[in-house]
Amino acid sequence: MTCRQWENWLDDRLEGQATPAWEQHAAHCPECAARLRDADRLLLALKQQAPLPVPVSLQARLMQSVLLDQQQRARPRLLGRARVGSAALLAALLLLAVASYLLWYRSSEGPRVVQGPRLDQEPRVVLDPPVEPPLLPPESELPWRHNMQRAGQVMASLTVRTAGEAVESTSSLWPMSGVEWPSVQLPPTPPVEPLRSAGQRLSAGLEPVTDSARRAMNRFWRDLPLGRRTPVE
Amino acid sequence: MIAEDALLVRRCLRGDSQAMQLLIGRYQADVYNVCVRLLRHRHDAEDVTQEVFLRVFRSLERWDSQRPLRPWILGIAVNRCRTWLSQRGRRPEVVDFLQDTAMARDSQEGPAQELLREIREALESMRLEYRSVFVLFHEQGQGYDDIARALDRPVGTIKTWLHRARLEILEYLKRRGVVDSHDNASNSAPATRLASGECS
Repeated sequence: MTCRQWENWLDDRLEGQATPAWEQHAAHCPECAARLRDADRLLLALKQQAPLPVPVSLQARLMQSVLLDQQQRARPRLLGRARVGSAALLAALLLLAVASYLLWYRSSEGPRVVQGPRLDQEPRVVLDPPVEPPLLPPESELPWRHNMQRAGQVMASLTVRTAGEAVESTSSLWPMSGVEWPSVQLPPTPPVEPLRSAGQRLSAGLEPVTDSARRAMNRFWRDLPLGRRTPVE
Repeated sequence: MIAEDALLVRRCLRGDSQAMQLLIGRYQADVYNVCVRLLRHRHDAEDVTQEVFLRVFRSLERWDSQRPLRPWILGIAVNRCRTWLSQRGRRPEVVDFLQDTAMARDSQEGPAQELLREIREALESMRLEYRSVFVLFHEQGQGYDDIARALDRPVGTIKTWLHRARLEILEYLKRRGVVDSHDNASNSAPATRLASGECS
């Protein structure tokens, strides 16, 4: 046994454990005996120390500060929860509105899902035929003349509307001239086939010209010395 | 005790002010004493004790109910003291412990009290880690495991720190002539001699 081990014994001694080996060694070593006495004095003093009393003012302050802190921290939490709740309610209302609209749309005029003849085919979405204006038959049955007729109607309507606006604008400026506003009669609604009639009138007016041109061409071909005489029909 | 603490904490988390009062009353003396010993300033200790309990209640949800509550709270106290000391190091220090020492010395000081005062003065000049471990072990009665948990260090480290703290205190007491001088005090490097354990 050597006194180099006294540090290990010191820890055991200060932790209240028995150290018979140190005591046995100290019986023959005056320096380790002094160390042992110091350790015991230290341990005794540490055992005698009493905790400091907590000041009364601090006790009251602790509870107040904790309660105040808890209240301050709870307030934003509650506000946050209220915001989340409002957002959730709004989202639920939006979802409900969209779902209601979709249900109503499908039950009334929405697209219908029709199962195809074969199970491996994708279901087809069939839209109802568009509502056509009652004036004209379906597009597929319309000849080109009717298309021209529709275009003529549109052009005539546009012309009448433009004329009306021009008359209205002029009437607003007319008082500055100091002259009495004349009564202006706008043309009536265009006839059903204005372009067709115009085309017929135009063809009738141009018919003499086309006849003269056809006769001139026939004479030209007839008088040619080497050319074939092919009259223009 | 753990189950009792867990019940108390659950009540606190529900906002039970009576439970809060109970928890504060149960641990305020421990926290305050640790703060006084580590900071050596009573007013600072009061402020830090208040901070400690604010942090305790703020982070009570994170407490592991499988572990004892006291080391967890004392660990927060030691951490707050460390932070406070680092901040205090950057500003002028107001000496407060004089009211402790002077008053105690004049009135009722016996040999044990004188030794205790010397021990506390020795603690003051010690590294904070050593001081914390010494205070938690010898003044708060915490075991190695609880101190290791509180300071978030291995038990071996705690044992080493405590051993060095004891040696430093003995060396300080020898230099002050408070304990029997078994080594030749006139020799140089007494700490080395103490640590080496060489007998004459």
